[in-house]
Amino acid sequence: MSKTSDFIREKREALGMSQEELAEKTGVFVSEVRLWESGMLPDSKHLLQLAEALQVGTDEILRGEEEPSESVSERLPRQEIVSDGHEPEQALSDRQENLVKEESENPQTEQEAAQEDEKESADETEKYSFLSEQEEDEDDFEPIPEDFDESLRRNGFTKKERVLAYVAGALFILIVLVNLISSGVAYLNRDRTLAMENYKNYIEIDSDPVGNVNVDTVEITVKFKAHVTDFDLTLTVSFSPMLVGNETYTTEISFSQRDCQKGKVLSRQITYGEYYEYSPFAHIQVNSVSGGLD
Amino acid sequence: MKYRSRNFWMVLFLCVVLAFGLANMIVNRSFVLIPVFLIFAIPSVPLLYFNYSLVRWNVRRNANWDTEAGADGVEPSEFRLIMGKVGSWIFFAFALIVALIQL
Repeated sequence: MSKTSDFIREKREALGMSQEELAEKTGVFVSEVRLWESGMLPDSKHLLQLAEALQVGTDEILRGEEEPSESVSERLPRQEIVSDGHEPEQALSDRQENLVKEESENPQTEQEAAQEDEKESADETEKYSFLSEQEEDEDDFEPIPEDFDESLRRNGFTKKERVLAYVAGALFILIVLVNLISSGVAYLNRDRTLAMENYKNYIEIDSDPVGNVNVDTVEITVKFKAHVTDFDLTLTVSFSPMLVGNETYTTEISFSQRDCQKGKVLSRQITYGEYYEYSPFAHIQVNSVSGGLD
Repeated sequence: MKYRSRNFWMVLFLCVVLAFGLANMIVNRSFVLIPVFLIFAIPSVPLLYFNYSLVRWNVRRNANWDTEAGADGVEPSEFRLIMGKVGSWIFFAFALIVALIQL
């Protein structure tokens, strides 16, 4: 807690104001007033309003104490009155008399006086030369552009931002709504059963030779891309002749499973004879397929 | 009906837009991207709204740090304020782009 914070609180309470009232008069948030009363120095831009609201001077706020009721200039003549025991006008005339006396004792020509004045002014110019340098530095600052949006200097959104955000936001909501509606329609019109027309979307049938050399066995696999119930599949697998004979080797296999989760794999191996008789690349034909989808 | 400022409606609108984005991600089952979306979406609206305070705080902090006289009365420049806004809007737009990605 500083002297300033105590002073602000005391003055506010003395005027019978609440923190909210002071904040309203000063044009700040209540939180700012609380910060002032808990030790933070008021910002210079609020100082004048605060001084006005508390009916004190800005220097009093910064010092954290009231200025004595009489200023030095007010006090000086009274002291003279007390010390001399004369009226103020009389005291002034006495001083004038003293000055005239001093002048008569030290006579000075007008030329000498002018030279002295010039010297003094030259000294002053030299003494305060840094001030003119400072002024030059200040000129280097860029002026605030005329088209500057003042609403940027407070929290919230500018008019341009609001327009842009409403347009872009509305466009985004439109895209999302189209996406959501199309997803909903697709969900409602989804396939309920597995059939010859759609089985490729839900199952993947593949054949892989078993072993690397002298292959005579091929593995047929069925991989599920979705959950299928009461699955039933019949395939005709044929192998073309490789070196001898003209006849193809054909066999029929079937898969049947009650509940097949997504990612499950069913497999069956087919051995077609000697490795040199048929090509290990199987030709697969789906005869029938059935099952229920979620 | 209680009077609400334009800024209040703007913040509400931005929250609704983000809610739509989140709903889109859930429907598309892009659950992996939801944390990424939230990282950009949650801070973007306060960043946009409190742009002036945040930029001013930053400028004053720098001035207090760099100068002996301190930063009483220092105001952020137009460039800094605009850059703050642009950065926040990029944050927000990135959240919306993430919401539209379908894995």
